[in-house]
Amino acid sequence: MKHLEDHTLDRMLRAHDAATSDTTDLRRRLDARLEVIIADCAAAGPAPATGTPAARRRLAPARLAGVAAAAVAATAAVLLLPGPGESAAYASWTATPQAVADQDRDVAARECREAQRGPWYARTDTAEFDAAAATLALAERRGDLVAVLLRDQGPTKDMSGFCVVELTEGASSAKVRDSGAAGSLGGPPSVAQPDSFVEGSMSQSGVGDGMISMMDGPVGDNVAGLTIHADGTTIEATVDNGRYAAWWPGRIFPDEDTGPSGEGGPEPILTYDLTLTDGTIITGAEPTPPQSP
Amino acid sequence: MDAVPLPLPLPQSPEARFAALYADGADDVIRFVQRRMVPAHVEDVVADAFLVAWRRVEDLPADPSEARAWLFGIARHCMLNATRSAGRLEALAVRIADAPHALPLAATDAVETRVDLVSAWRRLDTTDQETLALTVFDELTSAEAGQILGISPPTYRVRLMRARRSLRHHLDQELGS
Repeated sequence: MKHLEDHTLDRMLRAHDAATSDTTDLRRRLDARLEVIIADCAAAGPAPATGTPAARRRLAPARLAGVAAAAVAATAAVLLLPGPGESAAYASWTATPQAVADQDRDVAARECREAQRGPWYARTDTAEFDAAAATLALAERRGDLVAVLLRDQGPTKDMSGFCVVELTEGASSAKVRDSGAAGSLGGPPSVAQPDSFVEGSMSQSGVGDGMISMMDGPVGDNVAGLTIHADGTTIEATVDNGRYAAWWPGRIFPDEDTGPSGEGGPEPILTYDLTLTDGTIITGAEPTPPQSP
Repeated sequence: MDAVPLPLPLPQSPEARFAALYADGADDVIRFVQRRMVPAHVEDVVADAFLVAWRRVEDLPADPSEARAWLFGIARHCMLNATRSAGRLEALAVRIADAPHALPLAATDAVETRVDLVSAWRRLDTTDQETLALTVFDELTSAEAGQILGISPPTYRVRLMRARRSLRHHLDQELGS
């Protein structure tokens, strides 16, 4: 037979590689196992020669350090960039939200907290957004997708954690399709005027058809509804407990690769219609700018 | 003058160093083990390998290439332990798929050649399979492969040459039969 060159032989062999390219499920299980193993080792006193104290410790941050730094630097509305979106996953999205059943809300909130905490090897005890302490502000359903808004706020903190969770009605397990935390540090939460709303935290992630945007903020006492127009897409936000939230497949900002918004940062390409409790509709409503601390 | 990016500082704590090792290396180790173990045992072996890595984190090389080889070496020992039944096992058999997957294949890679290649691979002894796999599938350098096997890079290169020769010999026999 014709002599095969090394590189030809290697190429033919690689076509028979027994390893799989997608390790996602296995990684998820390993993440959970290793978290327990390492926590137990740290609690017992690790084998490394340095002799770490026997107290249970959480691992220091690894990959997410840069993201956390972006949040610290911001003073007004900020933008964090979570993972890439998956366009096919958002096919069931609807412009108008539906109510979410209590059970689905609880499942989605649990998954969102886990996603916001991140994998064990990238957690931090000093996160600007504390997913464990955050309260569930609102939840909504759009097709098979449940959005969850968690709030972590205080005298010097105004942070929102937002997740889009794939969850068919009544299912016991869910898959977080996208998540991000955004907001501001250094001052109290923004407050809206009675007939207005605040452009609060915004996040945009993914590229091209897979782009997804999330936003939320406070509304005034007289606000019953908020409609968002975003680059050809119209979205009815959910308004509940003095806050609105919305997400959609598409963009908030003109550029895909952008840094924190706010003063000197990118401007959102959104317009708004506000519906008041007396039925008045304010077309092209101007938002109250977020307050600087 | 162009700015020169500064090297990232090494994580200081054992936990941080291990976390970075896992974040960067878990997928590679999973695939390394998948090539050598049946699917049902992959997760356990990878978890064992990282547990050993954690216990020996003080020995973790600072160089990323050496760290990867160090981790593969640990995973290899875990697999040898897991598959050792009686007597001492010196090398690991490497599995390959019966059917080629989605990589583009040249027109010259005739179907009968590919089928015979699978048969020829399975006729190799485990030492030749392991030697070839470290280069072909795991894409390691001779230095890294030698580190994993505990031999020098020149010795590894000689083994690799012999393993290729054996594979060609078996392939010729398969095609001639």
